Amino acid sequence: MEGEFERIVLKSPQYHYMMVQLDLFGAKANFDSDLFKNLIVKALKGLHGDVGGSIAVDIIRFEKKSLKSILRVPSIGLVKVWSALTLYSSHNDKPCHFKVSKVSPHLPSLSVNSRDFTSELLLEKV
Amino acid sequence: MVKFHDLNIARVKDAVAQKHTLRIACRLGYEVVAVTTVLKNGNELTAAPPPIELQLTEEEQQNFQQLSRITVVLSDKTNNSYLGNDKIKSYDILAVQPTTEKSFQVACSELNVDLITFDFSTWLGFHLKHQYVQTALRLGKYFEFTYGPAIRDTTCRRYVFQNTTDFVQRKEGQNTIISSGAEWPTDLRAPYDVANLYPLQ
Repeated sequence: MEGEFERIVLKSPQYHYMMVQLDLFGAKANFDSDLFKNLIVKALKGLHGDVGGSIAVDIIRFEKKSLKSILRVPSIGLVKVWSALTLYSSHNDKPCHFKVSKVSPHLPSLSVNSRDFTSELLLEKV
Repeated sequence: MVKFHDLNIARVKDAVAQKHTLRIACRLGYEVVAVTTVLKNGNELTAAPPPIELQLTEEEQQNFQQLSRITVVLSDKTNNSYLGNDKIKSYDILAVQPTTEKSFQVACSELNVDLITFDFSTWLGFHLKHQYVQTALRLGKYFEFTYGPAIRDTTCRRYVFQNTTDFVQRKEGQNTIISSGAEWPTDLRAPYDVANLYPLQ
């Protein structure tokens, strides 16, 4: 079979997707996705004011147990959102840390990490 | 391969807390860190404590290098001839933190140091004159500021941004190092997060 492919080039993505985990350094807290969203807006307002707070950040997935989530951020606001999450350091007077593990304009790329691929996987016998 | 450096992790008295901070730095992706001893009074140079290197597990030690650094706070009254002291030479990196315009001029032009660092958590007290900055760049010196105060205290954050914007606009980004100044593991941020703070200026 001849390889047929179609190349799609995206020059300026509209959205970026971030995989973010909230680390509370061992403290317990009852979070749901609304509270998590509130925290993100609070972080944005804290650093960038009302203009930052108006950036439309959407939570695509949220895991209550590990506090991991996937966010969709408009690409023009990516630097503001990322810096606001980086500098947000306390929640209810307890230290916290937003760990940004992956950022990509393509959502499927958040599911894998090419550095985890092993040579056995690549040389699989058909 | 690019190695991420954090050249300012504050030395604390508690060795367990220090090890924990270094372990977190290793996990966040830093491959080279420098544990910084700060000498607040430059005239006590002869009483400088010896550098330390903490043992981590072998797995962590594989890609992780610890350096020792000493930061001397300079004022107009500091006797700079002591900077050639043997105790200072036992450290890998020597940095100075000028607090006045005169000490900044001396640090840029005369002193044999690797790094010139600033405490941006309050008003600097002096302006960074373009000619002194250019002299330091010609001599191959690096400038450093820390993002730790912006994380620890929201009021300091304004000063940090004010000072760094002023600093970056004068220097156009050459020979600049950003480091954490972390006293606690909660002050550390991953390398790409720190790199993303730079476009804010």
